[in-house]
Amino acid sequence: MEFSLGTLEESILLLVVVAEEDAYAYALVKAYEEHMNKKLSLSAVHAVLTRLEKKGFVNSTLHQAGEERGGRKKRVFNITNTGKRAIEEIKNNRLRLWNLVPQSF
Amino acid sequence: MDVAPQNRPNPPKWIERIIEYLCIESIQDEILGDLYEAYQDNCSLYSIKKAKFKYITSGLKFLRFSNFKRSPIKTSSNMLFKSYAIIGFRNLKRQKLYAGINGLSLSLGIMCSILLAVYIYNELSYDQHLSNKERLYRLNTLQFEENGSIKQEGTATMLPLAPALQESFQEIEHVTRSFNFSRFVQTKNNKSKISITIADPSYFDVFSFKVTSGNKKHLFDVPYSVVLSEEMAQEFFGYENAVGNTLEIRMNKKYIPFEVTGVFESAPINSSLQPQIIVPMAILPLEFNKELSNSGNSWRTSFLNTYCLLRPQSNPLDFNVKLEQLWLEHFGEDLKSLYEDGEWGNKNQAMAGFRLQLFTDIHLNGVIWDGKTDDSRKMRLVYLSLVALLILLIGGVNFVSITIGRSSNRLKEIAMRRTIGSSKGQIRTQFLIESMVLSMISTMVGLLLSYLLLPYFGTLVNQSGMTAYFSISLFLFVCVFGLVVGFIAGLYPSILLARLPVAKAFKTNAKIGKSSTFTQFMLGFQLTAAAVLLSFVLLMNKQLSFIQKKSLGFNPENVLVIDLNTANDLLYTTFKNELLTHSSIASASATSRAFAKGSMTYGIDYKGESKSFHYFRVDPTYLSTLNIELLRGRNFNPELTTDITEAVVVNEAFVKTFGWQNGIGEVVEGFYDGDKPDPVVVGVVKDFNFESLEDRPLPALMSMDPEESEYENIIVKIEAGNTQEALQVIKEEWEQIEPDVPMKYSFMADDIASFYRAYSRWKKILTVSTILAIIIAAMGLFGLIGISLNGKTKEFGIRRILGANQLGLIFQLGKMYFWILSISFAIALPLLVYTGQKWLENFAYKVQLNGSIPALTIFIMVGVLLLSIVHHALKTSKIEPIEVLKND
Repeated sequence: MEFSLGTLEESILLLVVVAEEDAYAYALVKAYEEHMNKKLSLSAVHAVLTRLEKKGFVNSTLHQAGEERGGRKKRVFNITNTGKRAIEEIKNNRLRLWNLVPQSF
Repeated sequence: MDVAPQNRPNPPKWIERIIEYLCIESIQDEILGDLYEAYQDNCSLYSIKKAKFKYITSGLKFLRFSNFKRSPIKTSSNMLFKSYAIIGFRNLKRQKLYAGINGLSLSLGIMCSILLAVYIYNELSYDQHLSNKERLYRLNTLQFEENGSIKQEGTATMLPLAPALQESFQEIEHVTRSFNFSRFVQTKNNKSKISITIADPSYFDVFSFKVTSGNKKHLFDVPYSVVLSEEMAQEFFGYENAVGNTLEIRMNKKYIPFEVTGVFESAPINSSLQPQIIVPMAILPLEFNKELSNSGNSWRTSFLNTYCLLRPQSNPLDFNVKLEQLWLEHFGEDLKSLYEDGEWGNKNQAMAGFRLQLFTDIHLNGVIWDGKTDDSRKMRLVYLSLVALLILLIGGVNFVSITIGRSSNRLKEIAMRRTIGSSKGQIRTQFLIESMVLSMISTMVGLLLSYLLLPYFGTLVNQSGMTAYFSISLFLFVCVFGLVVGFIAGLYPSILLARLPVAKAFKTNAKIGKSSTFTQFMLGFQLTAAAVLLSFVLLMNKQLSFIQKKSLGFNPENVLVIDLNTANDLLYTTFKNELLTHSSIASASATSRAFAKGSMTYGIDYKGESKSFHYFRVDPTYLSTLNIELLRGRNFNPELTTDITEAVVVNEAFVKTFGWQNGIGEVVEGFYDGDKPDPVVVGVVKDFNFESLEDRPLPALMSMDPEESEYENIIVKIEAGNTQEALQVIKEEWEQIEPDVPMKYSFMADDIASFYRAYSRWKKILTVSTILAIIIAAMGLFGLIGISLNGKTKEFGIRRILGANQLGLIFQLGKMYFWILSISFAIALPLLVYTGQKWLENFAYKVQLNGSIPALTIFIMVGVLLLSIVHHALKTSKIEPIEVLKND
């Protein structure tokens, strides 16, 4: 199976896994900035998430939220099995390659 | 800068609204929620201001296409419009030529009429910039016939008139006098000859030229003060402030310093008055004493313009009546005695009076030329408006008839649409929209073209700055016109095509427009308009080249005109004698005014009748220098000193005006005021045309009397081919006699040509617009013939199989168009004869309106018609008959 995942998509997908139950766009922005030490705009994350959902790597449900969001619902993302397989395969491919890297590197 | 969450202001609401309006409903909440959370966090991290800013920027970033609400599901009408667009576009592509003709003719028509409209508007806008223009008047003098009708009207008024008006009439708010003369002006920066206006201090109260520096109330407190236009201030003082500086004006043979007391805004291009340098009336007794004592100060001498501003409530017509009384009651002993002596008409009846003319009428209605009202500018505008209207109509009619023709080729498409369920209304809409879109595109192209061409057009009509008239209202008007044309063009086929029974429309030979009377009528109209325009322009070109070639009665070739600036006669004589020693100079003379530089009009009282004529002061070599032919009698004799005051030479028109038979030996009674004996005519010369050739030859009198006028111009006849050498010689000699005055000269032939510039400009405008009109009409003709041929290919195939040759085909095709053309001529010819005769009445020397012009018109139009028929017939006959007939 072929998975086309961009670097940003891959990171966000991983972050969705890391965030467990609370993976929504703004939380992911904060996590990304914290872990990756880079700025990212809300709308970019939003676009990436939409794309991931379209590709079937994540699914989402709308959750009620309170005052902290001004009463607005939030969309919480969960990784799908396809998504899991995709990042696992990427990880495995990377590891395989890393194992081939000579010691002198 | 942490603010407690409950005290924080809400994020800007408008971002929320935009997102709610534009983005898909299902994602609105998550976006806005996320934005809100980020805002709250940012509020604790940064200032509220920055948090808001971040809120806005990140909110705006959500406005991307993928987040937007999709348009609702495509309805059938949307799909239909798409189909209309596709089909319409394909049709344009398939019939590139006809679509091009269709659009282009409208574009050209609109372009041409916009340009003409801008010009007309500019002419109408003359003097409209003046405030109080509705109560601003010029005083014209009138002379009456015995029966009370107006004999002559003039603009020159007398010096004491304005003070008398101010004194006697309540109605006058301000009155000012002004006249112009040319003098050399110098500062350390510059030196040149400028037209100087002498005016009363009230000039700026009457005319609202804005005084930009200097005190408006104290501009002319001392006689030797001068006020400059901004343009002049720039020219003579550059960037330094002109006010307070000194400007020198050459008067009475020396430069006299004037103090600059003010600067005013230069008059706009559409102003009748173009004052440059203004000096006060107060210098008249100081610098023009000689002229003043020479009866310049009396009621009998008219030489300046009087303008007045009436009080708001006063009625100019009532005022005119009061003014007439002025002659009889108020005006000095001078005039009274004239009446009493019976020298000036009947004592009980005013022989002369005044009239107020609205200042804004002057440009179009009141150009007074030699005592007559000149309405040629107004007539030209009327003609031009007609031409503009005709061209616009030709363009519009073309669009309509070709659109109709083109749509008649689409019967199958319509039948198809009807079969699959299109309603009549839908088909109507389709055609209407299609033609309106095309007409709008052409309109825009026309607007753009006219905008781009305006600078070139401006040089053609010698008028700059007309871009200012490209306003929103013009734009809207043109757009509305385009829409209306598009609507009419679409309406006819849309109704006709939608009404056609489906079964009939499927038949291959079904056609509309082919023999439709509407189209024929349109074509007829176009051809008539084109024929009228063409024949009129032909007539005009013939007439104008005729008058330009007409013998002037003198020879201006190789004659140099040099401006003299109050030089005395002695200096001139030295100059002349020096010049004549050079071989490159044929002859030299001097005159009060060279031809085409204006002239002096004299009015005298000859045996109880008032006569007017043009006066030239000359010297004995004048006639030979200008090659004026002496008919009878003799020229002035330089040996006879009595000739200076006692002899005059007149032209034939003068003899006729005075009612003489021969003229020689007649005494010009009433020429001199005092005891001086009146002069005797010693010679009669052939008429010469020193002003517009429209007029009859004007009576002219020449004398040598230095008391009558100074020499203003020296005229030098140069040996042909020696121009450069002669100019060099003349310049050197000039420096000998006038070292501190630069020599200003022109060639008389050029001066004369500039006299006709108005005509040639007018000729150019009309010729160019007529050519355009003909091109547009020809395009329409060509297109219509081609379209009607499309449906005839089968007929032609069969004809050819049966043995018709090309000539026969051309004849077949041409029959109908020749009919239309003949009817057009039948309508155009009387129109031409009527307007042509009327127009020719303006000229003293005119061409005959004979058969040659209609013949030439017919020749050109038939030529165009034949060319397009031949082109199409050849094209059609190239198609093999089998190609068109194989499908049946």
